[in-house]
Parts: sequence; C-alpha cells; structure tokens
Amino acid sequence: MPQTVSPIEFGHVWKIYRMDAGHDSLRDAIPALVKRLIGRNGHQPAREGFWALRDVTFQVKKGETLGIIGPNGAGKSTILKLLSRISRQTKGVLRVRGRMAALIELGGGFHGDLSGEENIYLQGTMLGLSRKRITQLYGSIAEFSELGEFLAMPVKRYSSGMIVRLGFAIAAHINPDVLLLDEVLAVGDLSFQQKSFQRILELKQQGTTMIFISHDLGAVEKLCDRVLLLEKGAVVDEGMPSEVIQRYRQRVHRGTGHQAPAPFESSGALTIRGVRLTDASGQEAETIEVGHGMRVEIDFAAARPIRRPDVQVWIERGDDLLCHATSLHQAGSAPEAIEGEGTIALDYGAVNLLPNSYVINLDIYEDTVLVPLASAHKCRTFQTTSSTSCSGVVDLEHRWAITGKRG
Amino acid sequence: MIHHLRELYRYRDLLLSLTLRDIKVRYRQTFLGAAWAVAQPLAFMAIFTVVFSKFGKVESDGAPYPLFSYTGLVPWTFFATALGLAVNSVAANMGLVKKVYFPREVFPIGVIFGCLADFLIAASLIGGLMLLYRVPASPHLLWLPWLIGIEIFFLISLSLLASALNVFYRDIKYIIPLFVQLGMFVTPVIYSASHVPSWLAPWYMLNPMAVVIDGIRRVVLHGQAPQLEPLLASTAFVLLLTALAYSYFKRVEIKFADLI
Repeated sequence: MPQTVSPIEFGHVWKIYRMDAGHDSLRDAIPALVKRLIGRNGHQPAREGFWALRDVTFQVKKGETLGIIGPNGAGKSTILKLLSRISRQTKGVLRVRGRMAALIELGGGFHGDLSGEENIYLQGTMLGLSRKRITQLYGSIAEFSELGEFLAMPVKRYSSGMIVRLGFAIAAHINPDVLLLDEVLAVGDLSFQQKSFQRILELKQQGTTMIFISHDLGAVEKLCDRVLLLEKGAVVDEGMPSEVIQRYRQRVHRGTGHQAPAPFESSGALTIRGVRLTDASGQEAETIEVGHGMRVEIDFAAARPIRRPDVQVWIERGDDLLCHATSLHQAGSAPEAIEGEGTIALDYGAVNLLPNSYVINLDIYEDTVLVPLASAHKCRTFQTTSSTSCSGVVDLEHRWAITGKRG
Repeated sequence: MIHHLRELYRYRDLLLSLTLRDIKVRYRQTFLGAAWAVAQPLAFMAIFTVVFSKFGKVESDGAPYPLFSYTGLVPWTFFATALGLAVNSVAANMGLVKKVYFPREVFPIGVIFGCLADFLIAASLIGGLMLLYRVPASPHLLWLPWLIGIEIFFLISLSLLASALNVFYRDIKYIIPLFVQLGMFVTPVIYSASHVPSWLAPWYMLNPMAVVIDGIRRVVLHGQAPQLEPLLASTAFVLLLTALAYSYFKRVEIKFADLI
C-alpha cells in the first residue's frame, strides 16, 4: 500500500540548541576536561539551552504541499535543517522516504573567481547531481537563468540579482521526490519571482511532495494544501491554508492588541485623553467591514492655546506596511487655535483595506514645530473582514467585460 | 562505515568539482600558473643545495644533492601544503555547512586532491632531473604508487581529524603549521634516513612520512626496493588511523551546523 506511506514523518521531535555548544578554544576546553577527569562526577550544571522545537509532530502525504508559517524564530528553518540532515534532533523520530532536495537561497555557495558555468557544476554537484546530469541540463539551466553570455564571466562581477537567478536556475532543475523550499520566492525581481513561482507550481503538478516555508502568506495560501502554524517551537495550529492564515492574522492582531495601548506621550501642553475607533453604525469596534466607514475620535486637553494645530494619523498593516497617512494641515482644515478640552474626529468614508490587521498611529503638532506635542502610536488596532475573494493590499472597484464571439 | 563510504561515492562528482575549483582558483590570474607547483620545491632545492652540500656537507648517500633534496622536498611540500589547507577547510565553509547537506569530508579530501595535482606536476620534474644526472630508471619505480598511497591516506586521516577538531577548537589551525614545521626535522627531507642512529631507527620509522620519503629515495636514486618491514607497518598504521579518523569525523559532523 504505497499510497498510505507518508514521504515525510515527524514524530514528537524536540531540538535544543546549546548556548555554549562546544568550546571555542582549548583554553576553555582543557579545564573543562580536567574537571571532568578529576571526577566531580556529581551533577554537571545543566547547560544553558534553547528549545527550537518542542514536540513537533506532522506528516506530509505523497504529492501534498505543506506550508509552515509563523513568526521569526518559531523554528521553521530548524525543521528544514533536520529534514535535510544538516542537523540532528535532540529527541523524537524523523523519517524521509525518497530522494530529497532542499531549495534554499544558495548564493553563498558560489565561488567568485569561477565563471557562472563553472559554478553551475560546483553548485549542482553540491545539490547531489552528477556532472553528467548537469551537462544534460546545462542548456535548460542557462536559459532559465537568463544570464546568456554572462555565464562565461567570473561570478564576482555579477550583480546580486544575477547571483540569485543563477542560484535558483540550478536549484529549479533538481527533480526530487521531496522538495524543501525556504523563502525562495522572496528573491529576484518581479518577473523572475513569477517565473520561479511558475516552476514550483510545475513541480507540484508533477506530484512532488513539498514543504514550503515563507513569510509571504499570499504565496503560502496559493501553493499549499495544508498549513502548519509554528510558534516558539511548537505547532499551535494546523489545517486549511485560508483558515490557518486567518487565525494567524488574528493571533498577531491580538498580540499587538496586548502590547497596546502604548502610553500616550504628552508634552504637558497637550494631553491625549483617549482614542476611540467606531464603525459605520457609531459603535466602538475592532472589526471593520471592507468598504464600510470608520471614524477615529481623539479626546484632548490643552493646557494653553495651541496655535494652528496639526494632527497626523496613519494606518499601518500588521507587517508595518504604511497603508494610509493624512494630516490636518494637508487637508487645509486646521483651526487657528485650540484650547481646553475637546475632540478631534476623522472620518474615513470607505476603508478599502483588504482583510488583515491594522494599527492606528497619531501625532499632534503645534504649527510647523517638528517635535510633536503629543503622540499615540499603535493606539488602536482593527481588523478588516470581507466576503469577497480578492487578494492583495487594497480593494479596488472593478468590473469585467468580455467582447468577441461567445462559443 | 560502509554506508558512509557509499554516500561519499555518490557524491564523487562533488569531490571532483571541489578539486577542480581549488586547482582553477589557485592558478587563475597568476602569471606562472601551474609552474608555481614546481617553483616552491625547486627554490628550496637550490637553497638546500647551497647551504647543506656546499656549506654544511650533508651526506646524500652518493646521489647528487639537488636530486636528493628534490625527491624529499616534493612529497614533503605536498604533505605540508595539503595539511595546512585542509585544517581550516570545514570551518571556512560554514556558510555552506549550515545550508546544504552533503558528506562534509569532501572539504578536506577535496583539498588533498587539489594539492595532489600540484604534487604530480612537481614530481614529473624528477624524471627530468634523473636524465640530467644520468640516474638510471629501475623496475622498482613501480613501488611509487604504493608509497604515494601511504602519504595520501596519512594526509586524509590527519586532515579529517584536524578539520573536525578545528570546528570545535580554533586553536587547531595554529597548532598544525607548528607541528608541520617541527615534523620536517623528524623526516628525512634535508638529510638521509641512513644517518639516523640504528637504535633510533625503528622509532624513527614509525613516522609514515619518513617511510614514504626514504622509500621514494631508494627506488628513484638507488634502484632499490623500499624497506619492506617499515612499509608494511606504515601501511597498516595509516589504514587503521584513516578508519579511526573517518569514524570520528562522521560521528561529530552532524554537530558542525549547530555551532555558530
């Protein structure tokens, strides 16, 4: 029953990285050895360590593409290192069946003094290809890399983009049963990224079992059949890509929600009393429907009259992408002065930001003074939700039309 | 052990690529190119001839001193250069070690093969010197592959140990050159092995490089067979050492990538 056998099995795998792995010089090692020989064979102090993986269990079925997502340091790359036998697990069982190859950013393996062509042979054999096989594939690799006559030039004269293209072109030609991909799509210019993505889709259609690690949640959703969410070395969620990614965004959202509200910073002349976020119906909200209205209200108390106040408000996505920024001065609606207590309100007619989590930041200035009187960064977070299936950053109004004969 | 060797065999083309890389990189952009392989032992031969046969009168067992010293210098230069480069070969490639899997012994072994090419170029000049000094070739030259084989296995075993230890203790790469420099004095490079006091000779011949160089001189200069007893003892010792070094290397190589 070959179809019931999973090409990749991970059973209760733990991995610890020692903080003091080995000794860097004999000066430390010899006293340690002597100590051990003299036989303070009582309890050695437990060495400092950091668990990169904690009890991770999963399987990947034949032909399946598993995505692994999670914040930096969650242990994603450690999983690939264990699978590709670069490193060994501390506890647990790990099994890979079939010929496996890892497609990772490999530019570092090139030798600057050798030509692109010579490096193709060097790198190809490093990935386990024979020189004969590379000779067969050479034309195709050269074509994929789009490097043409530059292949005769030493790699040290290549631009970083050319190096990336050469690296991916070689890696894309290994045809393994199991393929590990680590952040490979984040390289090269847009057209090369699309070409790379296309190549990965081809491999997927050929029935290659894949593990795909990326911070590009859009690519994960498009490519993967199933997604694993890793946090601090443990699997915290697993399932359909769209669902896991949605829940991951919520977790990140809640995470930033916990940090906030960042204390409002104030100069004494002006104090921010509070910031409210309300939806189209005027209710305080943390969730906004895409395309619906939203209102930000800032309660302030000024200890003295503030001349020509400027309020800057900007919205960032969870990954710090600046989505929108506006200011009172830009809008040309700044009053001559404000005094005492009051409320500044900013109305967004339609929030066209596609589903994700966002934060609101604001600074209040006096006239053109460069230092703000008061600030409230990451003071409110909200999520947008939608029933449409568009993807990307913003929702653009759009309409399809097809002319010509219909079959 | 067997499956490690089988895996190494599967990656034989990588070994070839690394060897070619080392050779190409070494001589590309140099004016003399591969002539450098000959230049070093030749320069030492000139100095040694002046210092030890003109000033110092070192006995060369009746052979012309330049040929005598060159036959010692070529295998010794191979030994010293290869070991000196191999010791840092794994540590210098940590970027790759952390990213791609392949048997890590290809680094030190690739370095040795790269140096072997230089050795063969330099050694071919021995033929020219034999013609020049009218030293007749004898069938005992057929011992050469065996002798060179001992040197290669000795180098492989020391390089495996040194390059692995150097990942854990960076002191090793400073210790090795010192060890190599001192080693030249307990190896018959400048002088002849026949000058070693007879009570010391059995101990002296425990050094495989002494057996190799003495053997090469016997077959090249004197048309004799190497001394059989030290040859067999060295062969057994070097093979055992290689097996031990290789199993040590394979036992610790999985830890390489975890060391930052």
